[in-house]
Amino acid sequence: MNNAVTIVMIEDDEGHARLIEKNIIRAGVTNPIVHFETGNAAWDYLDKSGKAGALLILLDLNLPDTTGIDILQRLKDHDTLKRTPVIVLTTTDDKREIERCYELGCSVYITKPVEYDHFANAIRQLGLFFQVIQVPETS
Amino acid sequence: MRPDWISKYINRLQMADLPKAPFLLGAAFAVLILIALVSIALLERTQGDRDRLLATVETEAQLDQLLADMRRLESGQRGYILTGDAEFLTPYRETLPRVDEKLTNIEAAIGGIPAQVERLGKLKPLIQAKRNELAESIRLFDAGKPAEAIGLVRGGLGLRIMDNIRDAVYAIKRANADSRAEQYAQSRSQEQWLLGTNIAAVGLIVLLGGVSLMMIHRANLAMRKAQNVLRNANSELEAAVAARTAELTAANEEIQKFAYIVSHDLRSPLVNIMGFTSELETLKGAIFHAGNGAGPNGANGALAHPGGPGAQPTKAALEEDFTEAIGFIKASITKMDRLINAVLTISREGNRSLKPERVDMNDLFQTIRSAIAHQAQEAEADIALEPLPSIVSDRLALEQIFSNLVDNALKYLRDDEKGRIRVTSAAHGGKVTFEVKDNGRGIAPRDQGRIFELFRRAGTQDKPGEGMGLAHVRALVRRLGGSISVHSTPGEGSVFSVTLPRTLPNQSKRIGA
Repeated sequence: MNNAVTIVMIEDDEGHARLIEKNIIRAGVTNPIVHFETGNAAWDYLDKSGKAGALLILLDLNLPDTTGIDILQRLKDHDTLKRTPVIVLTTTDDKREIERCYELGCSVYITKPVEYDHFANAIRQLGLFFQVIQVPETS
Repeated sequence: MRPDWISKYINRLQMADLPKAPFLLGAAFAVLILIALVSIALLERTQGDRDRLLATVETEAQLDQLLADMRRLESGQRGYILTGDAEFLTPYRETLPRVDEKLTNIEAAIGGIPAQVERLGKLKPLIQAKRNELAESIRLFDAGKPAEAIGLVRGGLGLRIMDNIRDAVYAIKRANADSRAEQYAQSRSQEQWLLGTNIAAVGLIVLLGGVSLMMIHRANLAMRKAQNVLRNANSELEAAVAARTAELTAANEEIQKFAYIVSHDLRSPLVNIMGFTSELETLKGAIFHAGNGAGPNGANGALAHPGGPGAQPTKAALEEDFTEAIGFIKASITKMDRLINAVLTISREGNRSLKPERVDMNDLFQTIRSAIAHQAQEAEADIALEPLPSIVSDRLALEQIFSNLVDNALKYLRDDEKGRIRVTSAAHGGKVTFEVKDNGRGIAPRDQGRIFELFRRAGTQDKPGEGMGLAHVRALVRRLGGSISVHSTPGEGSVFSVTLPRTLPNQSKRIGA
């Protein structure tokens, strides 16, 4: 993945965010990571950073101010952001939620494992995945 | 409550008319049988009386015939003695054997009445004497002594015997007539008894039958009424069951959602605790080997530092990582504790028994207003109360519900406008809707359902809060048998409507509270 791609992480739990960041970096990913704790703050950034280049979004579904589903829907309804890959990374393994996310057009759905070894492993594999995927320009 | 009075009603029905009617019918039948038996007995007796009456008639007829026979014997004897014509003896000879027959008949007819038997006993020798006298005179005549025969007649013995016979017969006849009159009177009285008994029986049967019919009629009416009541109750029950099922389905869905939210929200800090504990484990190696400068750099050992993999972390960086991990672990434990307490609070609230009492809602809102007067003044907000009705409900729950709503209204006002909070009410039927209206920041339509969920909030997160208030409020409103809804336009304000029953039914624990 091109270093110009910015990873936007929307994750309400600071601890989770920190652990994800650590493990992504450990996988050798050096892209800049921007972290938001609320959906609305993230949306404000995304909506206004249209010219910031390529983006990849890591999205948690359980946000304090709105739902991840809602953010996903807004992204897919957006003129330019609809092309941005969205990786749903959440603790939810509810079948209906997974179906709904893919219906709305998320790229990948990953459940955060509670067991840290698995968690770290999952994120590192995600990091390896980041190294090989292509991300479109936003504009 | 409903099935209770229905069963009482049915019980009363069963206790009342239904068993009495067959009992009365049975009584009527018993009386009928008794009357029939009495009638048969009376008829039997009447039959006996009639037989005895007939016997007296027979006795009289036989006595008359006996007397006539005796006269015929006498006139035959006299004709023969006077004329010597044997022709006169024909009736004598014919009649003679019938006399004994008559006596036997009479004896049978008088049927063993002692006085009559005695009288008959006196008659019999007289008859015999008369027959002897007649036979003697005829024998004398036949022996060629007509003068002697006539002399015998003239002697008047035959006449005297005949007079005696007549007297004796009359005596029997008189007694017989007396007996007959007596029998007749007795028979009359028995007939009257029979008639009276029958009339009384008919009357009684008509009465009992009537009463029975009336009771059956009444029981039928009552039964029809009970059936109607049951039918209505059934249809109402079906509606109640449908309503309750919908309620339970909603409650069940909510419980599932609740369980889902709780499990998810508890899992989140757990991931942190496990994650940072593992990080600490990894750090341990680096810290203890930091001194000799040969830190391990295994798969799990690499720490993320701009220096890149393989670079030795500095002591300061290690300390920073260590402090960060401990900080996250502590924060996560605190968060878990908070979540567990929140769940416990809601669960306890669901178990608290409600005490319905008359609550003046004006007083209640006044109290809430004075409790937050300071905050309201700081926010330069005005809280207006319209006249509110009194309701019968749980005071504590009402206080919690409305102070939460007023608190929220005050908390999420807009900075650019003076806050105006208004409390109004509207009554409809057995329910009252209270509205808490504000001109605050409002809630986006997509978040309006979410705000009632546990640990969920909406909008800009610039105010402290756990996301518990409205979840708690909804649970309480449900327990009070009411409902809550919100109408809001972002940037203009929100209206929270709480609809409550005017009187809280005395309830047992409700499911889903």
